[in-house]
Formats: sequence, C-alpha cells, structure tokens
Amino acid sequence: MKQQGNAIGVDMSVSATTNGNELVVNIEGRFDFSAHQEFRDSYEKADSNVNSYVINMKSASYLDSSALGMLLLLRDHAGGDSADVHITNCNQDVRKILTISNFEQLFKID
Amino acid sequence: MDEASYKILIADDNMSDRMILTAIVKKMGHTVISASDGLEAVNQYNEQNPDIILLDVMMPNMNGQEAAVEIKSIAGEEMVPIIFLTSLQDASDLAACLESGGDDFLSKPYNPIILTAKINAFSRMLKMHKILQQQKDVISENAEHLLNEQQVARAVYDNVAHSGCLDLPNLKFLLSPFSVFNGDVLLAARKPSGSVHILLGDFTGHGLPAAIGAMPLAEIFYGMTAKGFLMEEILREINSKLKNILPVGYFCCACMANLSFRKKEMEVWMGGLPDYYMFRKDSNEVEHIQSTHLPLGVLSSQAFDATTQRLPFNTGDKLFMWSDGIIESRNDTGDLFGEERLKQIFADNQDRSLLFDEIEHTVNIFTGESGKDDDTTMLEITMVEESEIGEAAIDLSSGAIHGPTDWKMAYTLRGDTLKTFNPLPVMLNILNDVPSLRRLSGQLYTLMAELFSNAFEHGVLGLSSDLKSSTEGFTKYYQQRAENMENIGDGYVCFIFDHKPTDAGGELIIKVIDSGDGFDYKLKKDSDFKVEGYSGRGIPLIRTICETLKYSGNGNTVEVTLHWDAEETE
Amino acid sequence: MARLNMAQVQELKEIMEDAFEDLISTYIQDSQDKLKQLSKANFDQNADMIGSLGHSLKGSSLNICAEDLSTIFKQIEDSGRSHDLSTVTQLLIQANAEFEAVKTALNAL
Repeated sequence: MKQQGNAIGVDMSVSATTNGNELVVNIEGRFDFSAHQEFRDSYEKADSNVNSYVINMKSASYLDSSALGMLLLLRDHAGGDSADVHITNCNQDVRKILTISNFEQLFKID
Repeated sequence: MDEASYKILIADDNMSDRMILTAIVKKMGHTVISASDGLEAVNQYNEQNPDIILLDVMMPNMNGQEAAVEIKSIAGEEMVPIIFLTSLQDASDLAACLESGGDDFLSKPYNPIILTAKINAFSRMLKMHKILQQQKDVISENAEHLLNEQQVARAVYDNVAHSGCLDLPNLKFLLSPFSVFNGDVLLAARKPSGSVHILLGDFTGHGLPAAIGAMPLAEIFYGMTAKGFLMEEILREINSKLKNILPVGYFCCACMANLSFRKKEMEVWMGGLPDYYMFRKDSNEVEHIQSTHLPLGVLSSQAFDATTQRLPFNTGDKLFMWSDGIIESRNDTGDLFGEERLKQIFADNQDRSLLFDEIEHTVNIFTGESGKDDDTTMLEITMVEESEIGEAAIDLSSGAIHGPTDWKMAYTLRGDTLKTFNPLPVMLNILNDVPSLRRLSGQLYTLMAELFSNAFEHGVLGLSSDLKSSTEGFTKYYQQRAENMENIGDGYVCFIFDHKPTDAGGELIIKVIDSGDGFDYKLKKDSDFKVEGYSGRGIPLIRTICETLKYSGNGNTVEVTLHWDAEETE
Repeated sequence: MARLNMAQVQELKEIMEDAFEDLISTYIQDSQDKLKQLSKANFDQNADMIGSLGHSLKGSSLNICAEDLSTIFKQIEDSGRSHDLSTVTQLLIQANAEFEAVKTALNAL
C-alpha cells in the first residue's frame, strides 16, 4: 500500500510503504510543521497489524522541534515505551538535532 | 433569480429615455430615484445612497464621466457599480468611459433583457462584496480580541515572574518582551542560602500553547527555589507537571543551573538545547557544555533523569546560555546562522567583556530586516565574589503571628531516603513557624545546609573535601560520591532542634549526628579550618552565624547554638 | 419607408404597459421642443448646441423605435461636433418631415 504526499508550495513530502508488519515512512525535504497532517496520516491509516516503524530520513534536509514532536506522537501511537521505531539514514544536520535532544534514549537512530 | 431589491439611480437628461429605464428597472422589483444632469446625480448619490447607478454620458451641468469620478471618490471603499448609458460607438470613447469609473455600459435602444442581465450580474457582485466586507470585519475584530487576550496573558505571566532576580549585577540577558509567546522562558531566583537558580526554557510551538506551559513552570521554579529545594527536585517537579498538562509531542527544551558563589561551583542540567559555551578566565579557553537529557515533559516521572553535571566556576569565568534562536535564525536568502558562525565570534573576540554585545550585534546584522530579537534569548553569567551579590531577600510570608517558642524535635533520615530526599525545605519550614526565626531564614538555611552537607558527605559518605582543590580532583570527588552513595547501607543523619524562650527573646540549639566515623576534632585548631574555597567543613561560616560550636562523640556529633533578640525583630 | 420598428414597438409596449401612452406623449412633446431649439441653434450657428441637441434626439428616437429619424439626427449631431454646419438646414427639413410621419404612426398605436 503506497500513499503519496503532496508538495504544494512546500519543500517536503511524506510517503509510506508496508513490508509485512513494518511500516516505512519516507521523509523528503524539510521535516517541519507543514508535514504534520501527512505524517500523521501515514501511520494512522496504515494496516493495524503494523508493529514496527522505520522513518527513512535519506532525503530529509532538515528537522525542527515540531518534527521532534511528531516523532514523539508516533512513538506514543506505536506503544510508548514498548514502541519499535527506527530513525535511519540521517544526514549530519538531522543527526545533530536528534543528538542535542537526546532522542537516542527513545529511538533507534542511525 | 435575484431576490434582493436595490435602490437604483437613473441619471439621464432625456425624459422619455428615463421613463423607459424606470419602467424596466421597476419591473425587476427595484426602487428608482432619478436625476436629469450630472450635478443632480452626485447630489442624489450623497443623499440617497443608491446601490447601482445608470448614468447617461452626455448631460448638461456635469457630464456622466465627471459625475462618475465624483461619485466613486465619495463612495471610497464601498462598491457602487456604474453602468453608462451611451450611444457612443467608438471603442476608445467607450474605454474612456470605463476608465473614468464606469463598470459597464448599455447602448441605445435600451434592451430590457440585456439591462436586466447586467443589473443581476452587478447585484451578485454586490452580495459577494458585502460578504467579504463582513468577513473582513470579523477577522479584524478577532485579531483585536486576540491581541487583547495576549496582553492580559502577558500581564498574568509577568505577575508570576515578578519575583525573579534577572537584574543581578553578574547577569546580562537578551529577551524579547514577547518571549512568552515564542515559547521562550528565562527565570532567575535566589535560594535562601544565597545561591542562584537559573532556568532557560524553550517550549515547542508558539503563541498561547507555549505560554500556557510557561506559567506552571515559573510558579514551581520560584516557589520551590525560595523554599530551598534542590535543582533535581525542582526539575523533577516541573517535568512531572509538564508531562501531565502538555499534549504528546509538546515539550520544553531547558537548561537549569545552580550557581554557588560561596563554593565557586556550578551545577547544570541540560535537555534539548544546543551546546553552551563556558569561558575560563585563567586559561582563556572555551569549553562546551552539552545537553545530556531529553527535554522536559517527555518522560514519565519514573523514567525522568535529574542527574546534573557539576563544574568548578571561578571568579571571572563566564557561561553563555541561549535558546536555539541564535543558531536557527535566518537571513533574507534563507541561510541559517549556524553553529560555525557562533564559534567564529568566540574565536575572533578580543575582549571577553564585549562578547555578549558582539553576539547580539552579529546576529542582528545577519538577520537584517527580516529578523528581529524576537526569537533570540541569551544569558551571560559571570562568577563574582559573594560580596558583590549581596544577600538574598527571601519573602516566605506565612500566617501565624504567635508561633511555638518552647519545643524540641528530632528528624532522622536513614538509608535510601537519606540518598534521595532533601530534608532542608521541611526543616526550614518548621523553623519558620517561629516568627522571629523567619527573619533569619537565609542564615538558618545556610547553616543547616552546611551541617547537613558535612554530616552527609564527610560523615556518612566519608569523603574528604581536600579532593576538590584541583579540577581533576573535582570530578573524582563527585565520582566517588556517586559510588559511596550506592553503599550507604544503614547510614543516617539526625537533626535535633531544641528551641526555648529566653528573657531577651529565644535560643535555638541544633544538634546533628551522623553515622560516620567522625574525625579527630581535638587535633584541629581554628586556623586549620580554611575560610574560602571548597576545603574544610565550612566551620568558619558556621561560626559567623552561631554563637557556639561544639563537637562531641568521635567527631560525628556537632552542636550549635543561636540566639535571637526580641528587640531586633519588627 | 417604415417609420417604426414594429417588433421593437411591441417590446416597448410590454415594458411600459399602462404607461405607454404617457411615454408617447412625453416623447412627442419633448421632441417638438428640442426641434424648435435646434432651429434657433442653427440660426445662431451654435455648433455645440446643434451637436448636443442632435445627440439627445438621436438617442430618444432610437428608443422610441424610429431608426430612420434617429439616423437623420445622428447626421445633425456629427455636423455640430465637427463644426461643419453646411448641411444642417437641409437635414433639419428632413428631420421635421420624418418627425411628422413618426408622430402620426405613434398616435395610431
């Protein structure tokens, strides 16, 4: 199941694919407040048997505090402390922001 | 089919033409007012305010074009469609009509179908225009409401924050007057002991949601600091509160610091903010202090980690604290200021006293017209001598005029509780029940803090303060402290308070017993107890507050006395 | 020569309903007055006056369904506008004649 995000005038898009029980969400461009609805939709509308999440930041250029908030929302949706969320392919800027916030205490990050 | 009935002005100098138009327009259900020349048309517009105007071009006294210009200028922002009545054929003539303010034209012979269609079209436009005007009014009314509400919210916030001490001589800060609505918070308050607590917070989001979190945070910060609670306890309380009230995904990146002017030490907790820079006077080097925690409001109370970093902070050293507003600020072309530029300012700086201004200046130039100080929150803390700061003015006003004057109380903390619980606020509270002791709050707190620290760190944990005299020793001291805390076992500290009234006023005797091995106090002379720095058991300090100081047992028991005079109190 | 456009007259009757007669008498009275003024203007060689009177009569005639009459008045208007009054006297004779015919036709409705 693949959903396409929109990119009207905003420098970002969100898309998602499911492999079995794993949902992969791809972030493109700036991950900020404008991505809010799409990001939420990508995991809320996924199959109910999804129990592990991969957030692919390969094409993400930038991350701000509202994006951090969105990640926390996802983690909450995915079971809170028992959630299995993996943030992957982070570039240097993205990595830096996640490190400053010490998000590796809550997520698997690479 | 159009339902609305409009008032339509028909201006034509020819009587029969007017009659025909009037008949057509009346048949549509509208009301008619007439004029036979341009001047009359303008007057009619002024007096009657018609909705649509049918205007003949060639008229005596003032022709249609002149009348149109007049009418449009009187109308201002209001929409009043003008249909020119003309038998002109030339395209440029017709264009000139429209340029003078006409919106359409109708040619002779007057075709009722066409005129009806045109009037209907304009009446639809009038309706739409009216709706837009209404929406515009609603929007501007709402905007005004919001602004008023924000002002009220700011006033409330200011009241909560009023007891702060950001005006201390060793602090320099930059904070937008609307910082609350950017989610930025900067608080400073003095503990009863004279130490200063600082909190810099950056809430996610903007506007009222950010401000709402700031208020309970400020209340907890000021309330608990005044009562003598430790940083860790305050952070724990704030985290718990924010976790409860903020929705998932909202949090507060924060840094809290505890400055001890007496010990020349700083304790820091950082969660989610970019690196802070500490400038060392002796070495002229810049150290980075990093964020080691998640922001406040994310973790549950059980998972929350209040562990602090402790660093020496000597006279002349400076700590720079900021929100991410500096690094995240952008210029006109959208480039980020970034950490490299910030590092460069520190590297290029020649005079450390100008650093603060240089940072502010550089950021302003970078952001240019597009940015302001709105999102830039920054604080510079310089360590100074205690004498430069003065005493803390604590206001712990509570009820009773008559308090207990003849009482005795023992309070013992054992084992794990000793490890995690700070008894000072509770004990200070009890002492404050004696009205005359309230004025000595600061001294009493300092006294109890020293006695407790001695009993706990030197007594129960067996640490020697000599370790703290060097920088490596400093770190080692706190490492050993953490290790020894794990093996506390049956360790205990006991405070016994004995208060009696005297002729002059009252006497307070405080006895502190700890489970440690003590020390050979008989061998130590007064001169061996150093006055400044971190060595010694703070004995000289205790001596300035109390009249007597006595050790007993194996050195694990100490008793101090303190008198107060009724005449000296108000 | 058709004096009146009968199809248009029919429409006009529908628009005016009971006021139709009123319209006719207003037109006739107004036009007669203006024709007199035109004569005087021609005598005075007042080109501007000739232009604006011609224009007015052109318009009202067109509205009353007398196209040919209207055409004559257009020519009178043009002469006035262009300040070439050489043909005006001749045109006025034509206009008056045509007007009489139109008047008769209108009264017959």
